[in-house]
Amino acid sequence: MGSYAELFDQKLIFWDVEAVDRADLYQKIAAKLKEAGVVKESYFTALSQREEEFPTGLKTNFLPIALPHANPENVNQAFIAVVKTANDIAMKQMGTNEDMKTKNFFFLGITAEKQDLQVKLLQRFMQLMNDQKFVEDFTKLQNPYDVYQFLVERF
Amino acid sequence: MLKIVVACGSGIATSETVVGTVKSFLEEHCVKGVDVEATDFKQLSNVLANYDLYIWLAKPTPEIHEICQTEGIPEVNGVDILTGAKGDQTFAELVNAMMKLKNKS
Repeated sequence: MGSYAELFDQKLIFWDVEAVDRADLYQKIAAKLKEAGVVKESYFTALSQREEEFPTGLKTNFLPIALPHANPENVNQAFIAVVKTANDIAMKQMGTNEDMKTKNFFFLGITAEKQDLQVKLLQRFMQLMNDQKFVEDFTKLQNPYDVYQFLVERF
Repeated sequence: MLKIVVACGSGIATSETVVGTVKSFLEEHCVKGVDVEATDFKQLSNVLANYDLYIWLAKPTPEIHEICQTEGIPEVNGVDILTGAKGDQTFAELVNAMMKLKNKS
């Protein structure tokens, strides 16, 4: 098990989430994160505003993804919520604000205390996204249990 | 000392990641005398003139473009550096910008 395992939590992996658009998705995920106690009441508004101003969609080599995140003051505890939606969600790309679509979301709960570890994880994550085998295996995963096992093993 | 600033929306997640990636790249290629820092987009217009090179992760505003033009600060696409999606070409834009600055000085 890698050193990043503590940042993953099976309870924060949500698969085949039904959402009509990104606002709907953020609302649904924010409610789940609130229920798990990892974010504050302010998280949903902060996330939505930040994402509209500074979108986090990324077209990696093998898979379009998004890394929605809010500023640390809205987060109680460091986390990564891994989400796959049932349908494509229209997103904007980081840096260019161009349109894209994805089903793959990694909600990053960044905190000041764990920032160094999370930044290292993000670097590792980007490396893995350029690994075709990793991406192929990841996209085949069907349920939160398998996703969790896969992530703690491969990271 | 060459000073590079990396700016994303909040200066905490992706910009810090790109700072790490750029620092590792420079170390691997034995490049010394380069300072790489992260900042958030709201502070950027106030601090940008203190740097030699700007790596963007959030879309630069017209105001930011203007500062870069006036101060002769090259703007480099940081999203490519974050994702590494361009493979061998990932750092090409950064290296070209650094070489231009070197030739100017």
